[in-house]
Amino acid sequence: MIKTNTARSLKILRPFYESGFAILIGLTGAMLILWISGHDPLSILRYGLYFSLFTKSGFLRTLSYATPLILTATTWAIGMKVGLFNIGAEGGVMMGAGATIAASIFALPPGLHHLVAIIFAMGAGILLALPVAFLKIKRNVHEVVSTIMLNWIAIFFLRFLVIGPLRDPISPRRAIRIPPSSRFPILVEGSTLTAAIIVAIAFSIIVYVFLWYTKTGQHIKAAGFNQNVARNAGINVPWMITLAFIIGGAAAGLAGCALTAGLPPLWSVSEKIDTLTGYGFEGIGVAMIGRNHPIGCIFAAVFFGALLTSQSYIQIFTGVQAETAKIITGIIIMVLALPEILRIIRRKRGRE
Amino acid sequence: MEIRISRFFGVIRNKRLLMILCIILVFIVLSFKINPRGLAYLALLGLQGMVPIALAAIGEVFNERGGLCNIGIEGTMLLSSFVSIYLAEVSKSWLMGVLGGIGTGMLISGIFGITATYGKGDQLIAGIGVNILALGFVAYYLMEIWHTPGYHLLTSSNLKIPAILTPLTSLSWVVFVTIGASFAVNFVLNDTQFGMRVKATGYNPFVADVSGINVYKIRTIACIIGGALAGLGGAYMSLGWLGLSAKDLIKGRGFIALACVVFSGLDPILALEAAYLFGLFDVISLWLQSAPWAEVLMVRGGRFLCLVLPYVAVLITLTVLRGEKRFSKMIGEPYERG
Repeated sequence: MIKTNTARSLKILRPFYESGFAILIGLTGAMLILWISGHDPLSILRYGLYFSLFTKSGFLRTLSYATPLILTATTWAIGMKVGLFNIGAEGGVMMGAGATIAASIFALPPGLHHLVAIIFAMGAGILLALPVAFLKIKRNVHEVVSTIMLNWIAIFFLRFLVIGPLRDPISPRRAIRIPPSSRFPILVEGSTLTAAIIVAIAFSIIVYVFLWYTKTGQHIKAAGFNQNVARNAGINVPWMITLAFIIGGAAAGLAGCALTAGLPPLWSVSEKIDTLTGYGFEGIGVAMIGRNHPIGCIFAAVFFGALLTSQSYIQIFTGVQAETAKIITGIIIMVLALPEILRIIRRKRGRE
Repeated sequence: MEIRISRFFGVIRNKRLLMILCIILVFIVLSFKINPRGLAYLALLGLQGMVPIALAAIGEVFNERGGLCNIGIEGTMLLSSFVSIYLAEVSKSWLMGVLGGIGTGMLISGIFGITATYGKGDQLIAGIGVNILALGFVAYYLMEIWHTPGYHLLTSSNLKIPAILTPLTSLSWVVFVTIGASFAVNFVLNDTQFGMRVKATGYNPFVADVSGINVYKIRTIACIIGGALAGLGGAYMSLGWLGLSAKDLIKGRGFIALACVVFSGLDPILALEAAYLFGLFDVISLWLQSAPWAEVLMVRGGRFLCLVLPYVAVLITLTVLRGEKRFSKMIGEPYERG
């Protein structure tokens, strides 16, 4: 009796220690790179994670970085649930940001304007995801290729929009600023944390409920487990794949909305769109640490937000411009791709 | 009538011919706007645009024949473009740079290969990991070594890969290496024992294993050779063509190469042709920005719409000409000795 209980608790704990192990390797790799290039390897812990997780201003910033990551992680996670490698979040973010700015041309009362901006952003994200689904189902084109092509198309399209149609007449080096009526309210005075995080968390909870507690959600998961069985059970597999792309596109578009209408002090996109880049790919790392579970993604996003915050803290305290977060993401993804390593630690746990 | 239609579809099935027709079509469309001399110039520039895509695609063909689907070639190219420019500047010799680039490609693909074979890792996820790692690594070291967040220009043009001067433009010798490589890979795959072993491990690893081939070893070696070619492609991007290093230097060319591979049905020569088509679009998108008659379109950010061209071309090509389905089902699956 006791034995089965411990076995069960070990099974529940498994995702946690596997993710923890991957994080550990990722951090070690980043420290190694800092050390090789002659910096203090422990600065990432001392300045980075300490300040970004255990001080008030740092933690608020961490949460603000986590907001888009929650959503881009959902894009990858729901793709993985159907067995798709949806790396189109980067492009979805761009489209969402462009649509949010485009929605600011309307003059609407605050609540309604937020809603319109969100719908615009999600719609733009979906618009970018639909060709991928079409190519996947009708033309058998692998989604990795088509999403990357569309990512670049979206990036250049947004850059065109920013200095073309959506250009700010006052300051030509950025797009129109989001009007106050559709800005998400700032939650804590003096921070960059806005109500966008509430929208993001609500979205991932909705996705969780949808996937785990509705019939269609179960069908999506079934199509991911085994397509042939799902097809024989009468599940419309192509429609499930399309649905996964649609939800993923909506999530990525919403992330773009959070990065423009929910990101003070710019409330806009600069010419080089540097406030938007990178979230799509870091979202993959977040989702893998979060074990492709929408709720897990929220916590993993906070950890990754801390990594991103720590980059700027390290820069302030040591002067090192450390783009370490992506290195850590890459290493973590590679480690989590390795079932053999995970099996070895599992075996060791089993022996204990 | 019936015969004619079937003959027409025969042409469609003959992809090699179709690809050439596509390329000719592009030139016919262009000839409305450009004089013949300009066309010849663009054709030569297209060879330059072809090289990185083609090298990555040929390397990937070799990989996938061996059964590994390495989508990390984008990251591999980015890393080797960076390492080659750094080594060339440190050692003051372009040869060291190119060798360093090839070495980096081999190293990264070696890690990937071992992950995917001995580690039985998920190849797509490991490939995405390589891509993201490369992004972070290059951004970090650009800042660390040259203290620029954006891009670093090669300090002296002497460090560029030497080129052959033609009346219209200069052609790097890597162009000829690329064309040679596609035929060499074709020869190795079809006419040598090693190539047969590679194909066997890709086609059916179980049978290959039973007949005494070390599947993991062959797959890793094929992956390393593919990585060496992708690494040369990366070195060409930074040292041969553009003469700069940036974190978005490759701009999805690795994935365009993957599209070429899908389209070619694992035939290196067809991959070369497809790479020429996409490289041509790549060059056209750059050339359009400086064309005098297109100046009106370029104001207010129109040049960014031009840059979309190669990616749209890939998507259209994949939509219209569907990829072959005769890939072995074992490609991309980890093989476990049973």
